[in-house]
Amino acid sequence: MATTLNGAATGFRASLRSSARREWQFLCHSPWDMALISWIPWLAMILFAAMFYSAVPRTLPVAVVDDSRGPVSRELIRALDAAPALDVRSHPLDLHQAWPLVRAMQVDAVIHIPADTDDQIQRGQPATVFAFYNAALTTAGATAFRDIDAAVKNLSGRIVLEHTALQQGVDKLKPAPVSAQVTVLFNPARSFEQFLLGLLLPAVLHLMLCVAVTSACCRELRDGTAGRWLEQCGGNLPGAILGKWLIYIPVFSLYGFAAVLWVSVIRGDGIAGSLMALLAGQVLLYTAYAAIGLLLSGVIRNMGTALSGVGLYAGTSLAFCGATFPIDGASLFARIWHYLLPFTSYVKLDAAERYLAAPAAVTFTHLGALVLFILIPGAIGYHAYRRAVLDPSTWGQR
Amino acid sequence: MTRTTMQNHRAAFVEAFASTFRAVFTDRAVVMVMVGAVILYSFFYPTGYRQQVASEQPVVIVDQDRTALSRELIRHIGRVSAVQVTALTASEAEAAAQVAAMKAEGFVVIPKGFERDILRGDQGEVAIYASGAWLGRANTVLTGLGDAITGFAREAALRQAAFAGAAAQPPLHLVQRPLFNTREGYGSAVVTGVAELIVQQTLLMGIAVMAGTRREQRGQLFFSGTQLIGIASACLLIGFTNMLYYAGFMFWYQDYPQGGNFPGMLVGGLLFVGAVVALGLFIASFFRTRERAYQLILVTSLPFFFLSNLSWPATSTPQWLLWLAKLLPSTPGINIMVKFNQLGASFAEAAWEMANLLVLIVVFGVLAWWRYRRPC
Repeated sequence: MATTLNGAATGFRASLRSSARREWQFLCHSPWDMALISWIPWLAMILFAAMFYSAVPRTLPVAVVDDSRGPVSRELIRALDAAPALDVRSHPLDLHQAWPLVRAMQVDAVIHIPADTDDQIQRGQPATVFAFYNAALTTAGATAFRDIDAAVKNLSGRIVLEHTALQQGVDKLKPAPVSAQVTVLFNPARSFEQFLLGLLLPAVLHLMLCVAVTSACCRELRDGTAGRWLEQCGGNLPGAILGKWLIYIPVFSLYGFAAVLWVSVIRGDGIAGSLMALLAGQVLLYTAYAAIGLLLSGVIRNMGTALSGVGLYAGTSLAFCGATFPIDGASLFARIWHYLLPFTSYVKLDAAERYLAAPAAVTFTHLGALVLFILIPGAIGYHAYRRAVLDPSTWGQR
Repeated sequence: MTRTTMQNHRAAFVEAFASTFRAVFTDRAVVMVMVGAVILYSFFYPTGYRQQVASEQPVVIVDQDRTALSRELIRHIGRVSAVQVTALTASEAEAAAQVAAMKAEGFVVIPKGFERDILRGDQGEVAIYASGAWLGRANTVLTGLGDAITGFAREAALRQAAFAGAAAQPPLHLVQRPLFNTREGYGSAVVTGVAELIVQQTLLMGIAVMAGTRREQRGQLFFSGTQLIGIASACLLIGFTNMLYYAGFMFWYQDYPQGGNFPGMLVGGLLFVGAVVALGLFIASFFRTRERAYQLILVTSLPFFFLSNLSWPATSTPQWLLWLAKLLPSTPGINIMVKFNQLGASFAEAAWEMANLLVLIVVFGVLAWWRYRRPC
């Protein structure tokens, strides 16, 4: 305590301690900077957790235009209504009355049962039913179609048993030549909570950490306090930088652990692979983005511009990590960008540990990649930032 | 109102309008956010979704039958664009290991006796497994394999018919008709929503950076109602230009669905940008430093996008969250622009979003006026 009061800590550990204490005191006096590492991440996590709590889309509003009005069409409407993802909300008299409902987004799909459906089935002929769905809403449209398809197939099978067998005899009853048994491994319920929430929470946390660390590093340059900061840390810059990181990385790692706990343990079926590897991956992920924050601070030296860089690099991770949409078919630029993001390695590690129980080689490949994302930007960033700290003429940029 | 006060108001408006433009274009950081970032993101963001439809997902085939018919099925699978056969093996465990090692997204098991069953007139059974680690890919793999098996089954039915008589066709056939985004492009669905968010976030950031800078230089800011309208008009012009750049040029350039209701797009865009400017002026009154805006607005983008319920259905979102989301211009803004642009909705079909945006303009406008009023 005495050393910090005198403003001259000596040795690496002392500089680490005094830098961390100095950063913490700053945060205690700056409510918005504190907010960025306290209630703002929690608010974002809680909003996302609440949003995906139902896990799979339920009761998607659909409209049925029934021009057939027979027992088969009524049976189909009952089957659609019974499907867990669908809610038959409306029965327009014709398709012209159905389209405004779709355009107003009051229904996500329209099922049209043409006039001769019942007649054709009575005559033993195949009938055609139409499923129109809003493909501008990807999740709602695709989920609605899948449940409509399942309801129609199910009813079709029942009709074969009831009508065809009764009318044409059991010997006419022949199964389809091929049947396919479909299994979704690891996430059999197709839970979007497991899929999307599991990606969104680290996505929002690593962006917030990168913003916080970049702000902390740039702040000393902007306010011209870099000299005093270094002095208080006994001139030991590595200790001074790591002292700042010592606040942010553990805080965000703990939030990340809480996110893993919520998604996988409380709401999910646990971790198939190594929990330790996943938690280590979290710490490495946040450390990598801290290193990138240091690099941007050292190279750009202007807080606003450096934070714009953070927005571009860490704010778009989800679009380029390849988990929500495969990147293999994208342009060369997008594929290179994909590999330049630590978040990409983390989401692969996340899939490997949370679901796949992947072999150790896969685990270590992604952990190793995350270590490289710490070492390379960290080393370059340290040298660039060191030059900035030692050169007062570059301070004070706005 | 006398003639001179009218003239005074006009002069105050023109001065506020012009000085806002000066403030934007003489500040490198503000130009970078309000113009540079808007253009940069319009090219950068869509690159991740260039191919629009997922294709060539690696799958492994476990052929335990090794007959002419199993090879025929493999040929069918090889022909669908959604998947690509990367390995043939006889062991299910080996295929599962490939999935666990992230080398395959799924596998198909063709069990022994597959050909015999079909030629007998029985049902040949196959099993499809998709890795659910990333659900989007599982759907691609299952749809692709499903198409291949349907195609194969159609031919197998003909083969069976030749010796065992025609099998009963399924009595109900479902025709799949995706609307608006007819090729079901992923970029078409996502980037058209992200565009409004980019317009909102860059505008909020630009306004807050300007306000924070002035606050640092001059202390607390006071504006008369007329001055505030002048500032708002300048911001509205910049934001609306950005919106038109996205909805006009960028959607056309990327070949996204667009132009359903052109007057609607103009009115919707104006209301949306108006609500963003009102919110921007209000929140900017709280920023004391220039850089605070970057920190706080950057981190909200991802939550704001999901709160618009474009990617996750509103019916599966808690009611309180839906109401909370309506306080953000991006929620009605994204929906109204998607409705007018992609869905070709009429004004009546977008009435709810228009009312929502009008309420936000009034509420945030009054709050902004109240924050900047000069105490009497």
